[in-house]
Order: sequence, then C-alpha cells, then structure tokens
Amino acid sequence: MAKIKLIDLTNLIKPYAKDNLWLALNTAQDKVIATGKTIKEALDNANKISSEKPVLMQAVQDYSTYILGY
Amino acid sequence: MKIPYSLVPSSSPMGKSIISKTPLLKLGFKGYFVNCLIDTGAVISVMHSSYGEILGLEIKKGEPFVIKGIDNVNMPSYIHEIDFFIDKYKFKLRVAFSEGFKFPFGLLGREGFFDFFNVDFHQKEGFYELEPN
Repeated sequence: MAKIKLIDLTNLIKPYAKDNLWLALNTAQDKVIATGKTIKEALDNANKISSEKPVLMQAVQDYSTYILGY
Repeated sequence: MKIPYSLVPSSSPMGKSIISKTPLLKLGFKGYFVNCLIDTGAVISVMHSSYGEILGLEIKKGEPFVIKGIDNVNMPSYIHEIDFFIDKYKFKLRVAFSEGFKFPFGLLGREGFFDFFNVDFHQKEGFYELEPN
C-alpha cells in the first residue's frame, strides 16, 4: 500500500502562532491566503485577494491543550 | 475515502516540543471550509458562533444547549441545523454554536457525523477512512 502523505501544517502555522491569528488556507492547505485577528477578518481578507474557498483555523503555538495529548 | 492526518505543533507531557499527528477534517460550508477535529468523545459538534454568523444565522434563535467540558465548566450554546459537505457528500449537521468556544478548530462530535460516516482510524499509518453509511 502506498504511503499516504500527511498534511503538514507546522510551517504554515509557525509565523502566526505567537499572535494566535486566524488563518485562511488554500484548499490544498499548503499556503496561507490571508490572516485575521478574528474568524471573520481572516475570511474577509481571503475573499479580497482570492476566489478560492478558504480553509479556516487558528494558529497557536502548542495544540496539545486542544487535542488532549501529544 | 482516505484522509491523511494533519501535523501540528504540540508538546510532550514533559514539555518537549513535538509534532502531533491529528485527525482533522476540512468540513465544507457555504463560502468556506472549517478545519475540524474529529472527537469521538464529544456528543455533538461545536463551533465558535462566528462561523454561524457568517452563514447568516441568528445564533441565539437556535436551540439552547449547555456544553459541559472536561473541566466541568458550563458553556452556553445554541444548536442550529446547517448544510455541510465532505467531498461529494452533502448532509445536514446539528452544530452547537458558542461565543465562549475558544478552540483553534471546529469540533466534530458523534451526533450526525458518525451517523453519516463510519470512521476507521489508522493512527500508525497516519490516515483515517470515511465510509458513508
């Protein structure tokens, strides 16, 4: 069975994690289209510069609190 | 359909920085996707109220629902039934929207989502499979 390629978000998240910004990623999740201090701001900023439907999430430095583990 | 795990920065119990394999799902709504954590421990799906407001929902007109977290803190929310899609599959999902939900992802709980799909986790191989019911 061919090995499946993981979606590596670590390098995308890193520059924005200190400020906990919301990210609008492209559909392939390999590029940050836009950021914002709120979900809506990130979406609005993405819609201004791209027709691509963005993938929204928040950048944080450590997700262990949220995923209950490591 | 096979979906790869996502890699996110995390830390070990000893505080060492590590990278975690996490089962996220790009859930499609009108105008955007939300990266959601698949949480088999959660009864219902939960999202920040902003996501609902963007869809034009009047959040407080939904069905009141109190979310009880693992720390036993009660969080008010309002349930709405909304359309979502995954790949070619379109469904209605009951989502509890909460202003107090401080979470970097949406949370996909069992109700609805696990009725639509059988989910088979392959943690070691780094993917999970969704099979429509």
